[in-house]
Amino acid sequence: MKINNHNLQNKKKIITIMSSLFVIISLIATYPYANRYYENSTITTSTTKNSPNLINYSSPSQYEIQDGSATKNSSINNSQSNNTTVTTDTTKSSTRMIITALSQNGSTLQIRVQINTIEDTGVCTLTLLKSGSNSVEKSVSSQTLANTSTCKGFDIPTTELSPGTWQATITYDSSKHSGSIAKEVVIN
Amino acid sequence: MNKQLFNISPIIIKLKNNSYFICLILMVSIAFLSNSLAHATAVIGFNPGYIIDDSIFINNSSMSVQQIQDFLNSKVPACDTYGTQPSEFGGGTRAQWAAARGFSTPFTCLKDYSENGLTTAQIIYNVSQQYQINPQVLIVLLQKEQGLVTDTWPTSNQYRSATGYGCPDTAPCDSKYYGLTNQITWSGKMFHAIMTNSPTWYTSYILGNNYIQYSPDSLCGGSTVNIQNRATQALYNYTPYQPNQATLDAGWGSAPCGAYGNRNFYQYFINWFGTINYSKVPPLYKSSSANTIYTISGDNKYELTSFEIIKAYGLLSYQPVIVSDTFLSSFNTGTTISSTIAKKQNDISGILYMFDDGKRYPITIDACKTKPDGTSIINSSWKIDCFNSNTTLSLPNELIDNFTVQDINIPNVVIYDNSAWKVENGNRLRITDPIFVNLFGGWGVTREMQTINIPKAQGKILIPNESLVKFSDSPSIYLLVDAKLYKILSPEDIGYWRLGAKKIYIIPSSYNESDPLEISPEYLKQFVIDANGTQYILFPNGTKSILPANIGSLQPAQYSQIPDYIINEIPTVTMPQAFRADNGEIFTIQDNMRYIFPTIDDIVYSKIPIMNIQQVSNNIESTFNYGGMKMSNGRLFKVSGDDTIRYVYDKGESLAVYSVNIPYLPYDKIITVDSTTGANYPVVGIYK
Repeated sequence: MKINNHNLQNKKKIITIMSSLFVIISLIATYPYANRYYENSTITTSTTKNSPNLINYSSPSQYEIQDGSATKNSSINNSQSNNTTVTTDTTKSSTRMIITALSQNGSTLQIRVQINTIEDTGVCTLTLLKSGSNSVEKSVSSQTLANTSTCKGFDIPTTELSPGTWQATITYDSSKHSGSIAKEVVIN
Repeated sequence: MNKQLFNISPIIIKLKNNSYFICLILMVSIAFLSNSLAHATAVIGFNPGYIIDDSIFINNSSMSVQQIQDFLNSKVPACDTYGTQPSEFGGGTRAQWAAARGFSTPFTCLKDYSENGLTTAQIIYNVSQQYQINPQVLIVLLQKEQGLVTDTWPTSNQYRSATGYGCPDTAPCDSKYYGLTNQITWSGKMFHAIMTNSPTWYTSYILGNNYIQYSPDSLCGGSTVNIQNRATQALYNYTPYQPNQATLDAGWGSAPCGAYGNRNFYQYFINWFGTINYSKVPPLYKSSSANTIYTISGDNKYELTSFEIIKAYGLLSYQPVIVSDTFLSSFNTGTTISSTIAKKQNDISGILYMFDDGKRYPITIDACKTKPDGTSIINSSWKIDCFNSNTTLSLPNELIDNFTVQDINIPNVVIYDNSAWKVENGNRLRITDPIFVNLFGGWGVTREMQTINIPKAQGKILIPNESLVKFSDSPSIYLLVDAKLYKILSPEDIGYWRLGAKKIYIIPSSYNESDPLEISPEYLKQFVIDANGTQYILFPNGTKSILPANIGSLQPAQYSQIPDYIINEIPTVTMPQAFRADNGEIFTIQDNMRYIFPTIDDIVYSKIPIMNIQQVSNNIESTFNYGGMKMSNGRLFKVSGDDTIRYVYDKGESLAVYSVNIPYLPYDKIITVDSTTGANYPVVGIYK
């Protein structure tokens, strides 16, 4: 019985040692690769003055390669996924909107909006409401950006707004999408 | 990444029971692993409100077509045109993985790709020139959106939406923008419109405060970002998310609620093109063929001559960028930076600074050796040669402003080597008591300084005057008076010199080595003479008396000579008529001689109040030669060897008493005295 236990322990030890050695050998083998960028990162430069213009002509680092692969994979998967969700449904779908800027800048109330679709055919309508004051309404068209769209505005002169808290509501409407978002702003 | 490493710990603990050797191996392995992965460190310096300089963003002359081509070539050493290699994503070979998704070989790498007869490099260059956008920005864009720059087997859809333009997060890309040229052109067009603040191009972001989410998922939240320049505004219009802290901490990795576009733009740009901010231009350069370290500003390179200089100017934390000799030789040779005293080249105030560990201290005139006209400044602290152009440098403003922080005016008290020092006359004097720090302005104007500026420790150590001093390697105790040490011979001197309340400083002897305090040949005694020649006797109760003139002049060995203010601190009392030595002897002093009272009666009958007898040491007693006994009038005595009874008559005279029948004489109190005493009382008659 004792002998059997001893043999079992020896086997465990051998397995553990072999596993450890494997890990070490693997690490040693991958170390130069892991450090490739840093070892070979001799940088040559152009001679642009006033700002040393460094161009790194070394091979990409493992992190750059890995990030590039992940980006590629994500891009292709998204592309496939998005393509499969295309439908011919003609009903409008809602689009998410974000008010990215809403603040008084001197004598101008600046409002900026992000629309999570790419369309330049939509219409943005801004409505400003304040109890006891006349409402202010502006409409502009949308404009596409790289991944989103925005409204072509809004810069509202504060001369049109009395001091106090206003409720700003922006709606978006196109043939395919609609959306709305609201937020309060204080005019001084 | 750190999380994974920590997770290994339990394994180590489990294995401890089996073999410490295995533990050791694993620990070494972990150290090795952590070292190899250390480069995947957190992103440092990313400013969500200022991602890249406008001037860099629009620098369309940063690369030629050939440089762009060479760069693209360098990032794909070998293209897997037919996808024969195993796919990184599983699913067989790359060709098989791609085919399963509708993409076919051959795969054309970016460096080899062309459209309408133009290479990628040419397309990038053309767009950069057309829209005045740095081609490096466009290169990074291709990488961060599709990984195209490093991809060895790009698929057609990656080119189709190469810069991600027209690709919303939740919908298919818009075919209007398809194609490499189209994509790069739209990107350049949008960037240019924003950089030039085109009135016909609207953006989602303003210069100023904007709410920017951390990811497309609104539940991940966001924060207000103060967008400070057009380039940053442009980048957010491209990728409308900012990285959260976890995303920055992840380096190249992923994190919950992470959005990576702007983070990766930042990382790629720095890795490939050096800087995103001219104020953060890599400050140190080193030739690949020499060890000289330079910093560069404008058309000039400035050699930094030592480690200490690099540290003083706040550049120690920067790893020198290895550059070619050609690059370095293209710059003029500027001033060699070998001094830590410098001023800004373009500064109307002309302030001169001392640099130390990344801080700059404006130098005040009292720290200079001379005035501008060359006349010496008395009591100059640092004795800096302020007006010597050979030692004071004139350096680019940006070098000074970008890497050093202005601090207080040059301090007169510095902390160095774990001690406080007073800088005085170009030396440093070790301060042994915080009281000095307060005297010299307090801790608020005291700074720790570390480098070559610190003067040599040539001054005397600073210990409060009139303190007691003991050095660590000697039992002797001294009184410090005007940087001179007076040895205290016996504990009694503590009382004589009123030293009981003085603080004693026990000082390492090494503190006193460079410019040691002078040890006076004088030691503290019980007599002292002032500058006027007045002689004093000190008493154990901390008082002193002027010695009467009839005592005569003391010998130099008998008294101490010490500054008068020390003598004057000891209260003066009337000279006592009698003294009691420690051995019990009670005596009086006359004409520099000691006369002993033989009995209490002699004191009483001499009309000396017992309370006024001054206690003195045996030392004083022995200072005065014995002059005989001091007997009171009416004392009967015999001189040793002579049976004649004598009666002390008056004024040091005596009468012989020949009859023992004379009434009233105290025959029972006859004392026998020595001949010296007897001689002091000559017989002048017969008592009748």
